Amino acid sequence: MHGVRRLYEQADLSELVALDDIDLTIEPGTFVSIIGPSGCGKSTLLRLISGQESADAGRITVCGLTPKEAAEAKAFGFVPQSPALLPWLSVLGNVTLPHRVNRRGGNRDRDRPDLEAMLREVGLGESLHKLPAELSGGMKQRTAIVRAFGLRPDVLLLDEPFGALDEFTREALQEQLLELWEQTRATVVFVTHSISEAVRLSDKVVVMAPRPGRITDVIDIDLPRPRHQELLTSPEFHAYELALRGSLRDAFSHGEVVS
Amino acid sequence: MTLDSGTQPAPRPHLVVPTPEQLAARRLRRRTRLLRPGYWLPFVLLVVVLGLAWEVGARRMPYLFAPLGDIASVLTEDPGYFLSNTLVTLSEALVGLGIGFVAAFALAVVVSEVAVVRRAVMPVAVVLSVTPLVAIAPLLVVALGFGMGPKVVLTALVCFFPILINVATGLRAVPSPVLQVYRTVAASRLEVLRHLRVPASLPYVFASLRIVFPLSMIGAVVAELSAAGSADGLGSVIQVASSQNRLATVWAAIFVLAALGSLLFWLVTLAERRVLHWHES
Repeated sequence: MHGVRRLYEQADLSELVALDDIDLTIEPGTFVSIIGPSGCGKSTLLRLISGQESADAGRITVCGLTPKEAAEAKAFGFVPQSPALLPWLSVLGNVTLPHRVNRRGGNRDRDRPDLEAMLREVGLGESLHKLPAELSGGMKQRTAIVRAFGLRPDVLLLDEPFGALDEFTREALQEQLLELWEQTRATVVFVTHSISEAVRLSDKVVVMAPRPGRITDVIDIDLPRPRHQELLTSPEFHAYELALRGSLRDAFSHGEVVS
Repeated sequence: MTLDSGTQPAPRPHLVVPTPEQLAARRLRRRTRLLRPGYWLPFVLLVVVLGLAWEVGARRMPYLFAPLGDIASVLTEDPGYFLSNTLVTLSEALVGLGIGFVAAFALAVVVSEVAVVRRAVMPVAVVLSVTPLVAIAPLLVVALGFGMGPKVVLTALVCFFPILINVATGLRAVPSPVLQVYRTVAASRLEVLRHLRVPASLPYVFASLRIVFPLSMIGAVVAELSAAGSADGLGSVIQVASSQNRLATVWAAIFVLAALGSLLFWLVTLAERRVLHWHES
């Protein structure tokens, strides 16, 4: 994406620059996290990438297509912060419904994966026919992740998917997310508030600052994969955490000065 | 993978599995709940008190109440008369309700999909839903005659607006993260309507049915009252009998209406429980 800018009209008719001059290239097959304080336009950026909103200036291309065309071709999988499951469908029903809509966009050459096996793999084997109301928060979010991965998307967009979960569930789910990702190697854009989450998961962390929303830093995370639990306590991991923390502090003070 | 792979069910030490005898005892207790006095006694007591009060009222105010015995004998003497009139009123109410439902649901879909239509229709719908539309019954009788026509039209009209408002709200009750998930896979509006909006509206549909089933009875009976003497139906029975001062017949018809209303309400609740098993209420 190049020179992207997005304006929102505010209540007093002035315009808020939600995102300004965003230049970002995401290599196919990499895991990129976007981190920054609230209101820096992280979620707006995801909506722009997936074609839900249009940029006011600049250009976004996804695998050579416009975001809208990419969505038509079912290039995206999306995991919101809340699991957003349909309460009247079973776990399996929720995971298969995205395949049944917009059939024309479903790439024929991309065969439909065995969704039941995927669910079993993340520990939902006994819950295939349960309704969302019968599941715990972590199980619901696992279902939402399989729903997105099951589409075999080229680009996976996750908007703070673990934000509402407790620490233990969060770490277990990070592990499962990485394992699913190792199998598919889709491009991932992962919005988060958590420094350690960003370091653990990503190849590259994009730091953003608010007012106007912009990119202030990009940090490459050069840690070996697969990254298991033990890595979390290693000195290299801590060094990256510290660097990211410092970069975020800069981003935040930038915002203060501007406003 | 951190969790069991599903080949073998994990042991569950936290679940206490009851013995078959315990299970049977629990099931029996649940089934015989209705037989325990704590369950039925308060209700029965209230009914007895009300019955006694009724008898006192019947003695003191003979032009308002009829003794329960008389009402019961009217009902048992000619059950066929009440049955046929009940069927007339019921069919008017249900046909009117059906027409009102289909029309209101169709308009609700348009309203939820097209913002311009929504802005035009919804304020009018709110005003009309709080207007006592039954008041136009006499006009409908003049315009449409003494047959089924005015009764069905009035019932449909009375049911229309509560359904429209509820369903239009329900169709828009899909949380925005859900919409976003399905928009990122470019689901068409028709698919969103069919797979997301219509199922999400079902709790609202049933809420409106609970309101509208009793209303349909009111619509049918009021229309009959306005066009009595020439047609069948429990409203006509009430109108004719009260003009001839046959109080027991009037009350018998009212009791039948009460029973019919309760039956319909119970059926809606039953259907709701089957269809909305996923819903928390």
